[in-house]
Amino acid sequence: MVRGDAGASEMIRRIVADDEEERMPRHGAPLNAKEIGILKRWIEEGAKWETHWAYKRIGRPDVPSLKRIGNLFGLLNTADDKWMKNEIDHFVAEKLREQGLKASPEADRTTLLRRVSLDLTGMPPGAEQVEAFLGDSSPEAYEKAVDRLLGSPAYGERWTSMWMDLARYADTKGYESDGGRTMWRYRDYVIRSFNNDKPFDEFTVEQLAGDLYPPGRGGFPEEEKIIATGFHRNTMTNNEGGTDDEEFRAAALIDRVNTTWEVWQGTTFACVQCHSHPYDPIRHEEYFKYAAFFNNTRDEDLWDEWPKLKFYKGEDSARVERIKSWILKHKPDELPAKNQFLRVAEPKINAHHFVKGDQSTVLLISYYGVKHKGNAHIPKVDLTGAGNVLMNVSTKAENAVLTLHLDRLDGPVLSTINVPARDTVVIAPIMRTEGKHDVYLSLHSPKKPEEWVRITWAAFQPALPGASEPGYREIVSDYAAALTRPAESMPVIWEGKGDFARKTHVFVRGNWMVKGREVSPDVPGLFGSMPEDAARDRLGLARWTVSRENPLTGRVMVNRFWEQLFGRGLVETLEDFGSQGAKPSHPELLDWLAVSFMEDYGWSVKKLLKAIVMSGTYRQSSRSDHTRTEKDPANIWLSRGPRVRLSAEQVRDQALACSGLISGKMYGPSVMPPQPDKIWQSPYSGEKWVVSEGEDRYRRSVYTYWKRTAPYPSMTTFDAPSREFCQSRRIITNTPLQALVTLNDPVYLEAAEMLASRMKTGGHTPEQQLREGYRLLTFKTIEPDNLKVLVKVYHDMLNEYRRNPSEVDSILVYGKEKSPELAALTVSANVLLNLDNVLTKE
Amino acid sequence: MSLLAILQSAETPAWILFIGRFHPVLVHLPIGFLLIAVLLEIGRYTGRISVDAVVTRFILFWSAVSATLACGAGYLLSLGGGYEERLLEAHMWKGIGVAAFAWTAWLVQFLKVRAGGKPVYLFSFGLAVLLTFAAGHDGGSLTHGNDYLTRYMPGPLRTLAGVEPVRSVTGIKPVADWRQAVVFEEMVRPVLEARCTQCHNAVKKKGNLRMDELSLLLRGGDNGPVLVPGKSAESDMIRRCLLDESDDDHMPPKGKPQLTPDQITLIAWWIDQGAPADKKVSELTVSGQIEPVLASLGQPGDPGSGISSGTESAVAALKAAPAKESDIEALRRTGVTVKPLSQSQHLLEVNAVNAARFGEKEVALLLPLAAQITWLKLGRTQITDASLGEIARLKNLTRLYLEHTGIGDLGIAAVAGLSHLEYLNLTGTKVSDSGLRAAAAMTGLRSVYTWQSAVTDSAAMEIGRQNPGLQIVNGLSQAEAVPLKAPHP
Amino acid sequence: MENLLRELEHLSLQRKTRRHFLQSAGLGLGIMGLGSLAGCSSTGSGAAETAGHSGLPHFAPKARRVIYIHMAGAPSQLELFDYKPELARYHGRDCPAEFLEGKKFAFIQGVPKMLGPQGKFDRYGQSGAWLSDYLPHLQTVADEITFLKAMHTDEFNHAPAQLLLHTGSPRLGRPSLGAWAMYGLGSENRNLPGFIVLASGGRQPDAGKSVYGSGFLPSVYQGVQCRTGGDPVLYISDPHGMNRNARQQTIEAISEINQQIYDDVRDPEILTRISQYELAFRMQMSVPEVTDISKEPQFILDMYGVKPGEGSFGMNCLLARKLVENDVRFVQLFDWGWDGHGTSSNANIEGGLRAKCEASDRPIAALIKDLKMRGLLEETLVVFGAEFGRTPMQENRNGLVMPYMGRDHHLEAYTMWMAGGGVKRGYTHGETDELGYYGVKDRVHIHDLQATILHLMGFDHEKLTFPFQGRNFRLTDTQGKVVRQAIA
Repeated sequence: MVRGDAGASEMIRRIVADDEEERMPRHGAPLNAKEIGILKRWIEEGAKWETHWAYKRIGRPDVPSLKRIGNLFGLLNTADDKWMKNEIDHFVAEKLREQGLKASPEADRTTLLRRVSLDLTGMPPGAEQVEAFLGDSSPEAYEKAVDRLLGSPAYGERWTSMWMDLARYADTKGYESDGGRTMWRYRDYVIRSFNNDKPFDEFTVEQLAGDLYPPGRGGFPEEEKIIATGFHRNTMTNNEGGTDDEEFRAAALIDRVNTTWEVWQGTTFACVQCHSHPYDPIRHEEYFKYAAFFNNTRDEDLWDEWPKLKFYKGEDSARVERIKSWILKHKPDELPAKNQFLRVAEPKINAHHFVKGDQSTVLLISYYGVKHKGNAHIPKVDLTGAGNVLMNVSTKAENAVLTLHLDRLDGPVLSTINVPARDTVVIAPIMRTEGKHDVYLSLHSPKKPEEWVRITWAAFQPALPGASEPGYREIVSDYAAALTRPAESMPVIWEGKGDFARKTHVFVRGNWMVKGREVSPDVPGLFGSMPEDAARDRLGLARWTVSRENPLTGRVMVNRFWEQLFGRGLVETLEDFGSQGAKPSHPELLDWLAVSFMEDYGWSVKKLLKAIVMSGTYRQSSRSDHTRTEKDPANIWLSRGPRVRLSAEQVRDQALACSGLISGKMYGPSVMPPQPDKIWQSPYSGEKWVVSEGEDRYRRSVYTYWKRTAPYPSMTTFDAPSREFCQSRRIITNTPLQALVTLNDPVYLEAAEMLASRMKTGGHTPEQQLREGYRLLTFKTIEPDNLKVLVKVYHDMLNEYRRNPSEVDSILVYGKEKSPELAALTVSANVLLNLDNVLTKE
Repeated sequence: MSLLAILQSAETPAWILFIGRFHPVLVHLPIGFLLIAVLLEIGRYTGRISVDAVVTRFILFWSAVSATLACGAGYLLSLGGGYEERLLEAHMWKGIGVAAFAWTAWLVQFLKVRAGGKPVYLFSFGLAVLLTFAAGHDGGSLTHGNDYLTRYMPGPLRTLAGVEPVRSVTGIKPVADWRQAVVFEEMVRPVLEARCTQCHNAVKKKGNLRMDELSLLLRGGDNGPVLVPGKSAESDMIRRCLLDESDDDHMPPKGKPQLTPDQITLIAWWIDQGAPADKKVSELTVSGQIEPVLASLGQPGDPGSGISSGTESAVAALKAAPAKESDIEALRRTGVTVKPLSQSQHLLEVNAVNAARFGEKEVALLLPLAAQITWLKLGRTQITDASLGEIARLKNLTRLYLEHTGIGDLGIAAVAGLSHLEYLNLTGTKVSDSGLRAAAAMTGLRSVYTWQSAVTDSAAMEIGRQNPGLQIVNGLSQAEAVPLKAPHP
Repeated sequence: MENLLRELEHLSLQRKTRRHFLQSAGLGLGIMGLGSLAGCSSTGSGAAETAGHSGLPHFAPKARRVIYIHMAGAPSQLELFDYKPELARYHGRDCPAEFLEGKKFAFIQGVPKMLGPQGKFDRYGQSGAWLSDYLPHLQTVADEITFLKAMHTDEFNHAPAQLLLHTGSPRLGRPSLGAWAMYGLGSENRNLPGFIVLASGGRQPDAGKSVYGSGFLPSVYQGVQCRTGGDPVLYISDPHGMNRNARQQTIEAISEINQQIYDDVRDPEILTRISQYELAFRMQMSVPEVTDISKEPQFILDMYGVKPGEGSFGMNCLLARKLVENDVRFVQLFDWGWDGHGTSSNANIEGGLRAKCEASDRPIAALIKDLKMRGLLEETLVVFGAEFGRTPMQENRNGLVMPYMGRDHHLEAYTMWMAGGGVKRGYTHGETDELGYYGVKDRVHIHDLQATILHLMGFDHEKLTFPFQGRNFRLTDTQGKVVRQAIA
């Protein structure tokens, strides 16, 4: 393309060529004269390429003024301005005017309260809260309600549900066998962060780079910040026999890049892993420069998922304290390294790096196995200052001895290790030497030559200080014991330094095997550029991601929260703000919210949400009419309130809440509410779904155990993703299978029975009881016609159950009371729980 | 269209085209004027009439002027584009020639050139006139197409004028007895003419390939031979037909009427047989593969359907007017599903899978859609032999499903007239051997299913032997049903 | 947005018919009322039934229904279909270097040894198709089949390869072939989902539900899995103590109240919900009916080699036949456990593959015969295949000699086959080189196969598109050429 000269531009020549072979678009219909004219004019005018809106710095747009002739330039407050409550409405009003639409009146108070409760806490309001709200006639009544909801612990749980899809949180490793992993502490971290309204920028940095925060006491970062890094350990780990750990480490790396882009930058460019299209705003190489930020983490798709953060309990934590104070006493500057090794057991050399010798092989993908007369070597170990070798070994053989030689199989002996029977971390002194050496292992195990000696990892580090002091041996064995004894632990991100840092190369055509040019960490030009002084590591990246200069983060995040409330983002494609994505319906509003979020609210999510739910736009009634449905079926222009089917979590939580079953218990390991059998069918895995006891049956859905290859069925039926990868949006569907869940799933039958008994106590006549049931679910009085329908069902059922009482016992299986009346009420409750306005946020 | 033409067409303003459109009017002026001038001059020289040279000069002047205007208008018109490049160019230059020589002739007269004025005058004048005809012809071809003149030229004249003899390319006539048909002449050539020779003939010769004569076809074109006798797989013409339509090399080009798979199979077979010029089918080896294809040539061809066999042929040929929504709605009320079978042809599939009660009463609702219904699934419904009388009126029926109904031999007799019917499912009906015989007599029928009916295996076998083109499935022999090897425990 | 209007229009049309029923059939909101509405099916057929909206199908189809048999894990074409006597001669020799350069295998490392064919091959049927003694029953129907011997794909790991095979893209989020078919043709039987999935072999395919998902298409088009054992469809059976009649009344009540809610708030989603509840009710009746094989005659059970009550691949084949007999549009079968690397006694050629063939060969042959006998084969396309093939080399995981004979994943050349539904009978398309490593003639890419299947169903694969994120997506992405030679 020759700027300013269409005639000389190959592009135009190709477009107008008569030769089928040459003409572009290939096989496509040729451009018509008008289109060509436009292109040529554009080139003639110098072919200016306008930056895509989403990549421009976010400026603060002016709030549209209300002054129009209609209201004498704002002098009179006309009726159609009355609905407006804050700036948001000004932006919306402007578009409505353009579209020739009018805002809807405010929703009735009960509907509004139910809406805002479901939106902010994921739960319907409690009866007494409704009482209070209806009783409060003051103008601040609604605001008070909003503040109360923002303050409730349920708030954090609700927004965590959203974040879990983005963080692809699951309780299993994924892939073929899909075994379990301990990740719930990360989930709890997210709940706490939302409840404490942790500023979103801090929330971001902790999750992306918590391990790189400056160390606190004991030379180790704050525990919470390490737990936060679980975000990127939600990548899958493949334990499938024979898979290459490096391949799946690379896969996890790629996933971290894609996830970070999608979550914070609203950018989905998976394709550039392999190649760049001319029109892709991100180049192939840039992709791997960005990947370089994440490429130094110590995780290596290991079977047991190291590095993990260990939580010591009881005597073990006592041990750890003894060790720490000992080091503090004798050589304080040794503390950080040792403390770090105690908490995350890094750095260490994982056995899959051993180079194969005789009589040895890799076992279970990650372990190294060696037999009598067998050997292997560890290449290029830095032995400078190393006083001890720590090795995690075990064998069934008796008095097997492992000898470490320097540089050669027959080189000077570095150390000898008597291999223990049980899986143990052995600490052995080594001969002092300097520099990097190959360390050769040879095994002498004549008694049971065929038994494998299994090595998981090895580490070379300075010996504990104070060797001459009394009690030294105890401290060493404390150290070994602490490292050996099983302790609860969760996978975390830990940066590798020095020898443990990796070089990043471009993957040629996305193939991790074919390494291209080496690249250094940087961000794609598209996202702007990092300040010169910023550190080129994950911490620098994270800080820059939430810097005021980043054009995307602010917009992307406010759009996410908006979508959660209105069922549709201002940019419909939450996951893609690029040129392939949808254009914003209200660009100025989007930017205004983003700027307010970053500057005025100091990244406070609660403040942002409050601003939105306080707006008149949000408070509108969701009732539609002919014009509105005609002009704006998808309610893009917000001429009415949101009317959206409840999310998978909300459907279940509401049923439990309204029937009084719900448990308020927060945090802790995931739970297993009842589910049909034969759902878990992973091969090579003995894990079972064991239905939780007591109140754990009735915990909020955010605590339900999440197995990637077989998620809790009713959740997926209601559009929850399987969480193998980050998913920004749940496309809301409406299928017969959903009907089957709320009609027949035992969970909902139990809810129905419990709801029925509440209804029974709520009135004497069936009419009263049914009215009560409707009120418990919708907080409204039921329409007479609808009541008639229910009453009919009730009486028919009552006769049915009176005729054959045996049926009563089979339908009422949860409570003590067995009466035809309760049975009939239960069926009626089953109807109520399936009404559209119950399954929908109105 | 030329690059130039498109470039301008990108912003051809209306007024240009407006003026351009006057070209056809203007061109006739110089023609008229010049002819008058000629007549006058001839008259003058022969002394028949007496006119002053001024008169002819005056006329010449206006000829030149009008010719010039015509050229201008013509050029503007050409900017609109859409004309065949080469012809347009020729036309333009000839037109300009007319104007130029008219002017010269006039000038010579005007300046009263003495020395050698006469010959120059006569030469340019004469040339102007000749060019008028030439340009006129080109103009005609441009607007009415190349063969406008010759299209209806009688045979003898053609040969005189060296113009292609006529060949009808409309439709393909069925072969009387396919076994005795000369493969190339009666089977292959019609296909080539229907699908290929428009572009590959004496005139067009796309890619320097002519397919209108076997000899020329064998010679091939720019890209070498297109046909390797005995090796259809290596024959370019077959390869190109088999390429995906979106492929650049695909033939016929995207958008042009395509060969049916059977037509391709036919030509490929003919090539494999060594592409003989005058062999009859009976003289060549006929594989099971090709037989139905050849056989289908014997059947009355449907307009446009070309040579082909199998279920799709008849369907592909059928056309119907769009059905009335109200009729479809009325039928749907009975619980049947009504679906378009092929949107472009307005054909419908009617399926009573959800309407077990569908019976005589409902059958009436099919009739308003008689032209459109092509597939009719009435399996497991209440219909009776009586209903089939009405179903017989669904002329375009190609597939009829009557399995597990009370239908018997009477019913079959009733529908025997359905000429397009190719598929008939009588599984689990009362139909007996005689019913099967009646069905076998149906011209178009390709397969009939009679498992669990009253049809006997022996009859099925016998009738099958008598009707090679017909597949009769009367269930499985015990041997087939429980195959030889039991699975290992 | 245009779609939304379309949807709205369609729903209101449904409503009219519904009203009509309530008046005409004096049954009140009864079965008729239910029967009149067709949630999934009519939303599906909505594309086709609301005439004019979409010009589908593009031309008269040959296959109206599809049974797609996917052997998850990938069987070895070299033992079953692709006879390579040369390979036998190379048996045990080092693999030629040119096969390894720049290649990535799932497990093979260094220089593996070639592994000769383990099956005894012969030609069968008039067509003389090559088949091995692993498939004694398929031999009997060889003349019904078109073999595609030079299939090739782009992905060498199970999940992505399976996604590519079924959704045209190795990444998640695209609609599966069945979903496209539903989108284009809708379903015929109003009481059954139009797209049903049957899995055997003890677990889901590696790529999970996405291989039969609806991607960005409306979820009504996604596959519904029928389980073997327990409820055939999750939560399909009524709770104890609530009989059919009770359930019918409750659904009627729900619909009636929802109808009144709609009249008030005018949200079209409510109408969809009403129809979906009524489809759910009908499914509750028809799914158990169709999946009940107790009425099947003994010789049919023998033919498939199944016993009532067992949840097996054979049983799924029988169910598949019953489903297409009931006009279910697309039946997807998955059978897990074909990944014969040679790592264990049940994942190798002599052990695992033999056993899997013995369990599947007979029912597959039976399925083809059964369909033919009933006149269903002509319009039912049966597709057999896997996400990729196996290498001509023996696997040498971690550079070690494997305990059992196995082959690694191979994407350059493998065999799939199709039968019925308008494909040629007794035809073999494509060839591989003498070692079965590359396709040397008529190679068929996954996208070509997809284009061909769509073609048989009456679609131009380039025109069957759905607008999503500003782009018209299609199953064959940007590629795909119809394999015309395979079409009868």
